[in-house]
Amino acid sequence: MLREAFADFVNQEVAPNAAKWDSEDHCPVELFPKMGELGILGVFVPEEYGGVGLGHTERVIALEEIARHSAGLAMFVFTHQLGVAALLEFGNEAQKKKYLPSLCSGEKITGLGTTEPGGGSDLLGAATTAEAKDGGWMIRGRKCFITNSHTADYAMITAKSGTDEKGRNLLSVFLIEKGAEGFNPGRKENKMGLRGSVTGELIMDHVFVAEDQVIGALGKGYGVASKVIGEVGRASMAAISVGILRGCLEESVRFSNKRIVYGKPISKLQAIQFHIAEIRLAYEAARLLLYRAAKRKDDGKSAVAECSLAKYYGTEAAASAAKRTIELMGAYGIVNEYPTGRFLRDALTSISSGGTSEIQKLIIAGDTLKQYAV
Amino acid sequence: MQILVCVKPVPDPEKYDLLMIDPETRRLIREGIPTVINPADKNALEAALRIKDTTEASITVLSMAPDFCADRIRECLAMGADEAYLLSDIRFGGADTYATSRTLMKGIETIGLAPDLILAGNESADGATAHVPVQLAEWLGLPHIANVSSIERDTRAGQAPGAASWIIHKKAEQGHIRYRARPPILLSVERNSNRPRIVSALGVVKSKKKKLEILRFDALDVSSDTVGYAGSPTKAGALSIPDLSRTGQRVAGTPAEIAAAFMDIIKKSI
Amino acid sequence: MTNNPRKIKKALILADVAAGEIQQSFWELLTKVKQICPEAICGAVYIGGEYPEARETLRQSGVDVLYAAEDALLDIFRPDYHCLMLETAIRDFDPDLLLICATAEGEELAPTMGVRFRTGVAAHCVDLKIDEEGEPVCLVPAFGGKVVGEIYIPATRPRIATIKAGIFSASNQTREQKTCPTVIPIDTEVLKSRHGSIEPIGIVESAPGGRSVDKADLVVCGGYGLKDKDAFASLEKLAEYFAGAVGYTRPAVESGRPENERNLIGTSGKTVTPKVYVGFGVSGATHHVCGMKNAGTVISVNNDPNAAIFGMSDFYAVGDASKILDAMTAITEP
Repeated sequence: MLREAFADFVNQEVAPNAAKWDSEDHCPVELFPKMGELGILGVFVPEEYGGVGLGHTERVIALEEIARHSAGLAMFVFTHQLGVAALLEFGNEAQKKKYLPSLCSGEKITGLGTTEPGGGSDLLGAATTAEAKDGGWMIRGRKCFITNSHTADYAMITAKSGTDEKGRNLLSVFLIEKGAEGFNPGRKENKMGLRGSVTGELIMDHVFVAEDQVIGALGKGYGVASKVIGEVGRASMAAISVGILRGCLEESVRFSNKRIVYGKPISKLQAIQFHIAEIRLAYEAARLLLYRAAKRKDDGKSAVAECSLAKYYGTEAAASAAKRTIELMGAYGIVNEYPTGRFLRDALTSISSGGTSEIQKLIIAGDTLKQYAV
Repeated sequence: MQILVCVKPVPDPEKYDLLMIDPETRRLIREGIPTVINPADKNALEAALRIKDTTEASITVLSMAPDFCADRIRECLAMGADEAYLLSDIRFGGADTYATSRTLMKGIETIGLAPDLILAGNESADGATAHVPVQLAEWLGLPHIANVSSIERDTRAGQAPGAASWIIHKKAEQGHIRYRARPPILLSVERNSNRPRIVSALGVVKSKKKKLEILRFDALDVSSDTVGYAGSPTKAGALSIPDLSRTGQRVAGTPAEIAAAFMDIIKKSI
Repeated sequence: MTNNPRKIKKALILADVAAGEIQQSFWELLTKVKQICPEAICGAVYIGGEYPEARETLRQSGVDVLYAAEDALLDIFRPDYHCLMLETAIRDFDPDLLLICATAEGEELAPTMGVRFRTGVAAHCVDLKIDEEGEPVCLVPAFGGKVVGEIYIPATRPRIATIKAGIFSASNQTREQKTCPTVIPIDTEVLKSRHGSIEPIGIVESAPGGRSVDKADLVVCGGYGLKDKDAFASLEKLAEYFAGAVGYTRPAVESGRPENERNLIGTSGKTVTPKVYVGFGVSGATHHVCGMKNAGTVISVNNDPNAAIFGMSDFYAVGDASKILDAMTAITEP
């Protein structure tokens, strides 16, 4: 019933507008309060903080339904949930009470930014610094490719707050409120896919944040960011890919049943059926990987490797399924009245978000070498 | 205030083009067509929920349908209704509107409800007779208004809250008739007269803790000849799917050429 | 077979009269009664305000009996009052068959009578006939008209049926001159002592949205595929040129393009039988087709080459509905 409820919302509010958001690169912030009311944003947050009290399985169900029509909106939503998850899992009671209700209701928007011009997955190599000052922290640096950069009311960012005894960087996560002095969004990217989500720079030019705006323990920011991105982020990217895969499946079935060539629908042709079988297999496999990863997370087990498996397989499979769908539709596949071109652009864009396929392979291999060592 | 909303699970009206008749048995094949709450009934439920949004009110949902529809009834609870009863028994099957409305009346008696307002969708998407709500009111001896497009509180001064009356708009041939109506009354609510709320995730969670009781034949004060097909004065004969095909002749060309050809056809045919 | 218990000996028609004007549907129902049970005693009931002219026309319409409940109290439809008046007429006349036009009012009266007389009601009949055994059979649509089913009401009386306007055709021969019946008045005094809980307080007339589709020879219909609101202005222009009317489908109504849903064509709206029907951007969903399938010539335009409406058209074109519509309106301009 939950999935149907999410699908109802998507059919009414998302499906009719998805193409427009893509072509105009419009981020539908106006839908946020509605999504909050329906419990989509804080579905995994306990009721006492304004959420619904369900888990990540339900969270990725919602994302899959949204991404079926608008992967861009799903990107926007899950990045918000990254910030929510960071607060929920690592924030103290006062921070949770202060921030979570308005984030669950959609009144406020958040996000989590780690990537810098120097690279994304190399968290520790960050150049952004936080210096202790006047009982708080002074932050300097620049973040790039940050989703919700221009829309977030509360930006959570990682910054170097010190070094350990071996001289390695120690990161901390800071919550910066919109409008803080010296804090400004920078350039806004014109992306190929996942349009409708805003991606851009955050510039911290001597931004002062109070002591109580450190999320998680001081110096433990690497753990916060890698866990939230590794589990919540990658499961979300996997959910987006599953949504795109379902879009490919439904569009190819719809098209091949309707398109008449040589007097019969092309769905009767074996060559077409092979395409459809491949897309179905990719969809089912990606889905199983995704929901297994989400279940592990809900069971309180580490799900980093499982999320990487789901993300790597799902995004690559979505890209090839979108290409297949375009091939299956012939000339129609490249016409922008059909969503297939958008599926392909969204799928390709998903591959680099939340860690490239190569990064996922490193994580999978690392886990495998440990787990399967005899 | 107590509000009763009657709902009917129906095959999804968006998918009626998929319906077929089995050539052997002459029965309707509904396979692959999901069951949904009848659209107009959702409007009725929404009307009740809007009253509840602003007033102390409890909403009971009542339906007569097979057990497999329980999930759909649960959806009404997820939308915000407080409790639900499902009248379900193989013996209720094959009922026409007369037997259905009578069984619903018996259900209301058994549950012991005395609602101030009974709301139901004006018509179901499948049978579309618009009979059941009106007939239920008749069995209960209540006044009724069908084709209701809006329900507003009567805000005249000096209204005692308990005896509050309603301003009802009924769709009629010439426009709308406005009535002042006092409870208890049954109103059949027009499809699309409001926009039913979407079920929220919290609503789904809460719905699992709400009461959904199934009442069988034995629970109701009925005899087998007054329910289901046996209790129905109308008897169904053969079903058919009418053949509406015409030998379409395609007119091709530029828009201007097509337009000219069509204008000629219209002139010749009028 | 004169004693066949199935035979309709008496048929009663509730006359559809709006503000003193007898509606075409009354003649349609009367024609049908004369056709399927010519030997039956045919009665009519009038319930409404005092309109002597309408009453006289009904009296001379060819019916054998006319019941009239005439009172200013009945001018505006009130379910409780109107039901009581109809019930009184039925008790007195004791018909085997009761036909009611499926207007908003008729749809409320018919099921009420069903319960009050413990009998069956067939809704929105698309045909009414007598089978080999002499039993009346109603053909009723279900699932938005996709399916048509037979309905029998074998054991209870009266058999009640509602029929939408425009389903049956009216023959002029029914307006025969015969011995006019005296009018049997229905006592309306009883209403004055009733303090029902429903009180009509006014009528909100809907905006006159052009010519009504049920009387027009040409109906141009806008569907969901007719994208912009301007296109509906073009439809009006085209209709105006042929003195026709503009209709629309439910999806078009839901998208908010037409002003109101008065001329909605289909299961939940009107049934039309114009000489020519032209559908622009109409897909051919069952709900809509049910309301226009008996049109004389059907023309359709849709950009989807597989649109279902093409199979139900006499002439069709695959293309942009707005463009072809504009090209047609251009021809109408001098």
